[in-house]
Amino acid sequence: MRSVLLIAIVFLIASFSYAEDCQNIIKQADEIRNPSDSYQMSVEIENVGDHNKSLFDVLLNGKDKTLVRTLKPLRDKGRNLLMLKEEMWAYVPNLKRAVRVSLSQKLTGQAANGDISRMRWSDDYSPEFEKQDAKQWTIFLKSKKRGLTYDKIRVWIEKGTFRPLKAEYLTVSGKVMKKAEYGNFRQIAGKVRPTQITIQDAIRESDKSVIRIQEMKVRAFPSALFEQNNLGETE
Amino acid sequence: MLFLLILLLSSQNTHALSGNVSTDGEIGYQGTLNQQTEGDKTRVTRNRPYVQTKFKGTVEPADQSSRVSGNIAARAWTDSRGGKDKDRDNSIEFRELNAGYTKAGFSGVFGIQQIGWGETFGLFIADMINPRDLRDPLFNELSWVRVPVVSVNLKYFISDWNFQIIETPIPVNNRFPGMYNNYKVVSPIDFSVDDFPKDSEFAFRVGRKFESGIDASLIFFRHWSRNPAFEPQGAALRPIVERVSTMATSASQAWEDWVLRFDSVLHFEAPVQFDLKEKVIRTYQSQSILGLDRTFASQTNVGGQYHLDKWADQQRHSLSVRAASKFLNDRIEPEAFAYFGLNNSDVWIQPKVSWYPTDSLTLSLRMDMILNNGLSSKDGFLAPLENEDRGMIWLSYKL
Repeated sequence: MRSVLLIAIVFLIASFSYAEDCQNIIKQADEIRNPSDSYQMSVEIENVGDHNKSLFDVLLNGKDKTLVRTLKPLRDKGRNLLMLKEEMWAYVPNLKRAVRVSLSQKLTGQAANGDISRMRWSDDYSPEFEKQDAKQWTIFLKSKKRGLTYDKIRVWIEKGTFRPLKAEYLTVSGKVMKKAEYGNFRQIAGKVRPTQITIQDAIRESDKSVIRIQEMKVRAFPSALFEQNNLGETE
Repeated sequence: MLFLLILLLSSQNTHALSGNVSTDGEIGYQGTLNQQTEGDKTRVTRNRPYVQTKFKGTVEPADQSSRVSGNIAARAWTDSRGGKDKDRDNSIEFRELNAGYTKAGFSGVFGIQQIGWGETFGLFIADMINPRDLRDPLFNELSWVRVPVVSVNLKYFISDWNFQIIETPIPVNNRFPGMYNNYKVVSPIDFSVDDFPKDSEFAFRVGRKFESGIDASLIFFRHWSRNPAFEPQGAALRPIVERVSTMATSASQAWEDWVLRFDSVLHFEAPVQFDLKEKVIRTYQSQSILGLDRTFASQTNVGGQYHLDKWADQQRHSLSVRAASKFLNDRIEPEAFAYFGLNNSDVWIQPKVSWYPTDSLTLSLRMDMILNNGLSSKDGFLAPLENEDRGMIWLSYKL
């Protein structure tokens, strides 16, 4: 009886440390994806196929505030998006005010707002190991809260560097909705980070958007810029 | 003013300042043709090439903890409508000329500006700070019909709360058409700097984002009446402009693909008139709109609104719907708005299609059809415009 109890305790501790390792890997991958402080980045998104290119100035403040300023196409300039936790507002220049929008509003092409906002896997998802080989871990992430862009994510992370290599975004029912590949790793904002994410529809593989981070810098912002009643200031 | 703010900023921080300037421009053309369904009379009501430009400058200290901004936006147009009166209007005006300062949770703007409030589409009942250009009653593009005013606009954000104070020292009247229902419209009262601060307008707003996701605001506005009401002056009409207090609420909540919106305003002792034949009464007047929007996976947006207008012992119930989507790689955007009176005669149907052949060029075609639904003998607010349809072409090129 005592030996069974001992085995159970050892198993519990082992599984706990395994889970903690998993959490640590995701946290390290987050550090590679985004600087931990407030930062600003210039992001180009190209919708492959129709050759539409959009340019965004993205300001990220703290854990859960993202302001996406649209610079191109010119007809949408000033149509800025503010994401506060799981709430979203769109500034409409013609109205000179922000309107509440649903979280399912797309940014452009296959790119969702969550693809360029601060999506911290370690804070927003519960990780589970799926498998590993000599080069990479495969970790399955389940959302801990409602309103996230993706309910479930399967992510491949390189051993040693903690670089995210690719990901699958899944629906609540577990169906693969989109696939993402991380590439063009280079030194930016103090670390080697992926500066290109290719996102494609899982079924219509020709529906593809390429997110290119052109510039990223750690900086501070006045908090008043991240308020839905002050978005006119960011026009 | 901007220079003074930059001095203030530089005096706080001896490190170098960094700055940024952005410019925008647009050239375009708006043309409208009105057709009276009775008598089959057609006339050009807008024939307007225009140009507009905007400069924005921001300056930040090295620690990026604050920023000073300056905005200059101007628009010029000429409108030659022909006809027997050889109507021609020209306009050059500043749409913005202001300086702003932002630090931590504080943001302040002083100068010519437009301030947008409210959550609704089609009819913007809570958008009260700026007077309106009423010369073209069916044209509801806020960026064109808001009349900019010189205001002090101070906002403070702390935790989930936000506070806003607005002071407009010298009020500005709505812009009225020269003729209304075949009557000449004379100028309402003039406001002058001599009457400051007695005549100034004042607004206060307090808002909160609740943990549940509800974003709600409570508004008080002491102002000069905005809703059109006229009294005869000889053979002409004089717009009635009187002091009014208004309380308003504005709220929204989002769940996944859905957004619920609500605006409500209550004017106390406001001059109210819905028919020129009726005498103006002073009474409370409330307007409320409750709306629900849905965004579909195809990025099609559909919304519906219920409208309730109350004044004295009268009530008016109406519904409105709007749908918009994009096709062909987002190059074509059809959109439709419809407003329907439930216990009044109003019907307003506004189909619109926009084509974006390039990233800068937009061509929009739009119709406004005002009909009588035959459901009620009670006139709606669109009754004076019944039997007049309108087509509009709008071409714009962003620079």
